[in-house]
Amino acid sequence: MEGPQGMHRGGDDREGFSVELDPLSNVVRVAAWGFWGPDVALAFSRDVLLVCAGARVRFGLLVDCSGLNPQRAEGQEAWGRWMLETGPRLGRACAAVPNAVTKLQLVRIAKASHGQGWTFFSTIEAALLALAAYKSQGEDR
Amino acid sequence: MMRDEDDVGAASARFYEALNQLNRGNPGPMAEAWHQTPRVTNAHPLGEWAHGWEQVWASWQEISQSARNGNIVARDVRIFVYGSVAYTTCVEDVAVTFGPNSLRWRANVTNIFHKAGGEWKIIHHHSDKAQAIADAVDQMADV
Repeated sequence: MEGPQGMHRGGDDREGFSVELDPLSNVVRVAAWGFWGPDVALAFSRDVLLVCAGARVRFGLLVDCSGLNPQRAEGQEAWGRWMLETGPRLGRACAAVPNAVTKLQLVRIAKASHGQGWTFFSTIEAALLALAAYKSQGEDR
Repeated sequence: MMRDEDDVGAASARFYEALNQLNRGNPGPMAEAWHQTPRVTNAHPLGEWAHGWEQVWASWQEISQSARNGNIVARDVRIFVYGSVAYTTCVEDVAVTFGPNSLRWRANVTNIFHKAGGEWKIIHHHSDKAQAIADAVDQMADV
């Protein structure tokens, strides 16, 4: 579902996600939370790919996984498809994943999905700093 | 009462055998150790709460994909039975290989069991967090 400022949001307050592109900074911001059912996983796969397709090559990704549980097979497949299909156009992805089991899962999926541009942190502050450092180096140009 | 305590002790032993299997890459026996209902809960040494069997099982499966050579010993197991519910306290001595890291830690643990359908099975597992395993995951996060 598309919101007033181009934000796509799926699911609900218990299990869901949001994704939006800041065209000025060329950064896609994603938030994900909860334990997804098949419908949310499918919507996530569709919406993040759509928004990332609108970003310029070597775009940045800031992913906030606060409150995201380790996922069922459908959720794992959605993350893997996203990492694989955006990989060639991605500059750097910085993900905050406080739940260590979820981090373990996303790291495993990234390794299996050629997610070399992904880095995982425990806090959103650390992820923001890393993405800012990447942007200041002008690597998105 | 003694019969129930013996049966809870056997259920606890099955859980720890399953935990060892899981930490050697075989999660299957863990599924048999639990009552698979929406009203079960789990907190790992490295994770946050998992609520309901589906979340609990997803987290156990994930850990089994990375853990190897698990050797977990439950020491000083104390059993307390209250009708069809019982809890145990113990100290876990854990040795496991996680990614490239061989880890050891000790944790205080509480487990709760429920007798349903004539069978005692675990419905709640709570272990102290272990910094060693959180650090190991951070090292593995360098994609």
